[in-house]
Amino acid sequence: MLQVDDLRKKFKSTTAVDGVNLYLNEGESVGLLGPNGAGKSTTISMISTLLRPTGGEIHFKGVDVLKKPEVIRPVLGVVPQEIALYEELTAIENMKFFGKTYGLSGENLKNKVAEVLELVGLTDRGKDRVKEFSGGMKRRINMAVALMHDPVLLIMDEPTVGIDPQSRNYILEMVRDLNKTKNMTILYTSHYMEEVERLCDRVYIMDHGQIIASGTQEELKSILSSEETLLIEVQEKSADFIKKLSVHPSIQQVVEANGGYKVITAKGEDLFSDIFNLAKSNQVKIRGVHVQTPTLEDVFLHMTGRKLRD
Amino acid sequence: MLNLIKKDCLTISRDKAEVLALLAMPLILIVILSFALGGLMSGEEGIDEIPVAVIMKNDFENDIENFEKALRQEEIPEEAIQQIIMSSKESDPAAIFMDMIAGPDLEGVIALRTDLSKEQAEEAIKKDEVSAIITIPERFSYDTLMAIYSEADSEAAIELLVQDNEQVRASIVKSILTSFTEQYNLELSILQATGGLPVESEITDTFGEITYLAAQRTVSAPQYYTIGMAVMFALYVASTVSSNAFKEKSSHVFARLMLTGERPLRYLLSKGISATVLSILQLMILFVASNLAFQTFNDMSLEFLVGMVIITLIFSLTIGSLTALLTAVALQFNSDAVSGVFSGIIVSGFAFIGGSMIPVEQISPLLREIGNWTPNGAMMTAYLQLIQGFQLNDVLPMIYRVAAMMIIFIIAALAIFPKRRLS
Repeated sequence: MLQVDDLRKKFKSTTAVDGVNLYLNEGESVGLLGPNGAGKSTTISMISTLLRPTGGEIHFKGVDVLKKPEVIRPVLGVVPQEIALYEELTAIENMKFFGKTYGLSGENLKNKVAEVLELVGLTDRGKDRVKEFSGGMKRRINMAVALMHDPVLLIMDEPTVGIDPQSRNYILEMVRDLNKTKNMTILYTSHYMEEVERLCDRVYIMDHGQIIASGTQEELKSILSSEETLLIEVQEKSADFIKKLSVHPSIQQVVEANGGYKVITAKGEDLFSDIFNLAKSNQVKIRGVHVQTPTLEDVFLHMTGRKLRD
Repeated sequence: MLNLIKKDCLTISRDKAEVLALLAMPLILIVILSFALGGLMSGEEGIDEIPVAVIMKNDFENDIENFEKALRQEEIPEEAIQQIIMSSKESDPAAIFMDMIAGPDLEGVIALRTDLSKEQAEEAIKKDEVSAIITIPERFSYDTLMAIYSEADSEAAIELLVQDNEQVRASIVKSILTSFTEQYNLELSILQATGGLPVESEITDTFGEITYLAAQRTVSAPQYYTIGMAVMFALYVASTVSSNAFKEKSSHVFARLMLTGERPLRYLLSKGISATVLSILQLMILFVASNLAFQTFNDMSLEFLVGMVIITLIFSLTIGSLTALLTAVALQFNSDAVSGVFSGIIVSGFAFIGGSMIPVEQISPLLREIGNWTPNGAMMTAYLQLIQGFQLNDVLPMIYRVAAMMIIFIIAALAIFPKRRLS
């Protein structure tokens, strides 16, 4: 459905996107995972035809959208990271305004507004001005506006940034529902590994403007099949202890984690006694050592040596 | 397009701060300035009757006797002398002047005092009881008649003493006197050229020129400041709408709009039309509110109303084109600075030189001329001329001038606006 080849974007001396290749099949839910500044938003701006690339090609159903943006625009829904709404207008007025710009009118428009409002769970708040909404409600209306014309491809740029867990959960469920029940193709960008893990069939991991890994979640996690992730919980962190861990010949990566350290080692290595000995010599009291199932976060850590939210 | 315009009108009308700035503020200022600075205006209520003392030293009987003797010395035939004397007795220049200054045309303008002696009049002018002293000197009639009929050199002059040359009252009295003198001299020239005789009624008719000052209606303070504030605050519509366009871009609403297939030029056009509509609404509301409060527009003739509608329409279209230009600059350079500078500095400057704050012609006629090259200044002049009773034809030069500005703004906006997708 969508094919992106060697996409590049340079802003003066900065290369924001550097040779990105990706594709989306119809009905797929694909995640674009990466830390802030990785180039995700620039990539989707180019795919949305809002930003002209420095190089590369984008094809939608075989048509070059850089030459014919009108091919993709009518079937594309974009949920920007920002609240792209008129805050002085009510939710319904915003939806009607954008609905009309897509050519909806009369009963069709009225019915569509009611349907989408119900979908985002804000039927009872439709007549309230957007500026009176909570962050989560604004995000939902931001999404509702993108759904007014029944897009076949929905591109979402960090749609859950800065909202409460309840609204976040609602949005994630809604996205999954749109993908599963309406067969809507979704490109979901986020730096929240849990969201991408929960929603996406396939994932592209992006860093410094490049795709550094891609595949299904299982395929990505299999990168770590020869490795193990240990979470060492300590009473008090110690700089000497982490230094000693990082130079241990069997330990590949060490990063600070919540309440201790995350360590990636080769599978099958018996490190427990070494860890306890190093802790003792550095006067660190260990509260527990856990062997963890690898996550996409671990994959990112493995590939870059950094955490997603660094 | 209608969807875009409706959205602009809705978003601005819902913003209390904007409504306050575009409607409440000018209304408040109209009220304050009308009361506080009303004295500066040369309005109807501004000038009372001007007290003028007339000292009559001329003795017509004696002068006509001396004039007859002088004619005989020039060996003019007796029959001609008798005819001249008879005509001269019917057209005493001093009497003509007195008829004019005490006549109905100057009623309410001049309060004449003829009961004062020269000394009393001079004392009165010092005490500010009279604004001017007009002296008809001795032999005035004789000198005038000799100037008309004799070959001998002769010059008659009316003397004027004013309280203070810079005063408006002094200048009015001087204007009346100058007008009389010029008119009388003109009549004499015609008389000498045709060999006819002066006829009093003809001269009196020509004194219609004196009433020239009062022929155009004066502008009252509420009228002046209603127009002044309206044309000034209409400029803020341009900065408000263009500033909203920049907000649309920075909040990605503009990008979202472009994704719907909306054309950039249609968007620019919608900004221009929205500002035009908002400007028309704003001007109408201000004019109606002012009229309700002050009975600002008492001339409700069809011609006046048509003139007001035409000026309002042209001015609002110019505001629309200015909005398009500011929007184009804001979107092209991705900055709201131009709208900020426009509303913060340029509007104030234009408002001052355009005459919105005070009648700038009182400071300098050059400033007025410069002000007439601003859209608000030119339209303010046009509105005020219409209020003064000028015909629409007289106002057309200002309308053409502003229409030319509108075309320039549109061309500049089209040249600057990013027509393709944003990058």
